[in-house]
Amino acid sequence: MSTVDPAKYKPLYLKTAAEYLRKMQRSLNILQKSSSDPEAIDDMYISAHSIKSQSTAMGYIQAESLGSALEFLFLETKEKRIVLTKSILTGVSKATSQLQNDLSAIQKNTAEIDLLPMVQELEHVIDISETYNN
Amino acid sequence: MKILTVEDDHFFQKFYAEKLREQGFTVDVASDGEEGLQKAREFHPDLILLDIIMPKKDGFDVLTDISQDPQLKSIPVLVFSTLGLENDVQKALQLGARGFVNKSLLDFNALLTKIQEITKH
Repeated sequence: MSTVDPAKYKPLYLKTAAEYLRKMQRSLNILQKSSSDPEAIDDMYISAHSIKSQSTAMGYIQAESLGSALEFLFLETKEKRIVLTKSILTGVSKATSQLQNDLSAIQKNTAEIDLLPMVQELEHVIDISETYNN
Repeated sequence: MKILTVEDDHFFQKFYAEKLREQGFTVDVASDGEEGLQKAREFHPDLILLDIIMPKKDGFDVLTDISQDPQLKSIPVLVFSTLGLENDVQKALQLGARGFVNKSLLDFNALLTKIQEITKH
C-alpha cells in the first residue's frame, strides 16, 4: 500500500501552479496584441488544463473550477468555435488575477476565495460568443 | 522494472516520478510527446505512462507513432486521464493504450494495480 498525503505536495503545487499562472500571463500579453495567435492560445489551454488538474488532485475546488472554465474557453478557441474578443480577454485577465489571489490564500492556509462569480462571468461571455459565432 | 513517464505537467511529473521510485521502479521522464518517443527508443521502458494533453505532440499522436514503430509497438502504454475528458480515454484505447488511470485522484495504489495487471501479460 502506498498512501498519499496531499499536504506533503502543497509546496510543489504552489510552485507549479504559479509557473503556469505566469505562463498564462505571458500568453495573455501576446493575445492582447494578436488575439488569434495559435501558440499563445495553445499555451493558455495547456496551462489552464494543468492548473485544473493539479487543483483537482490537491482538493482546491475553487481553483479547479476556474481552471476548468478557462480550459473550456481556450479549447473552444482552439477549435475555432470562439473568437477572442476584447471583453473575453478582459475577463480572462480578471480570472488570472483571481487565481493568483486564490493561490495566495492557499499559501497562507486560509480558505480559498469564492471564484464562482468569476466562473459564471466567463461562462456568460463564452455563451454570448458561441451564440454569435454559430 | 523501467517506466517512462511522458507528462508535461510539472506537478504530476514530479509526483509520479517520486512515488514510482519509492516503490523501486527505475523511472525516466519526458516533458512532451516528441521527447517521449525519443526517450522510449533510448530507455527501452517496460511500460509507458502517457499524458494526453501535451505541447508539441499530444498523447494521441504518440500512440499512433508507437503503434507504427516496430521498436516501440510492444511496449504497453497506460494513459493518464483527467475528469471531463472521458472521450479522450476512449480514443486513446482505440489507438492502442492498454488502460488508463485518473491522474487527478492521486490514487497511487490504483496506478500500482494497473501497472501489475498490464505488465504481467
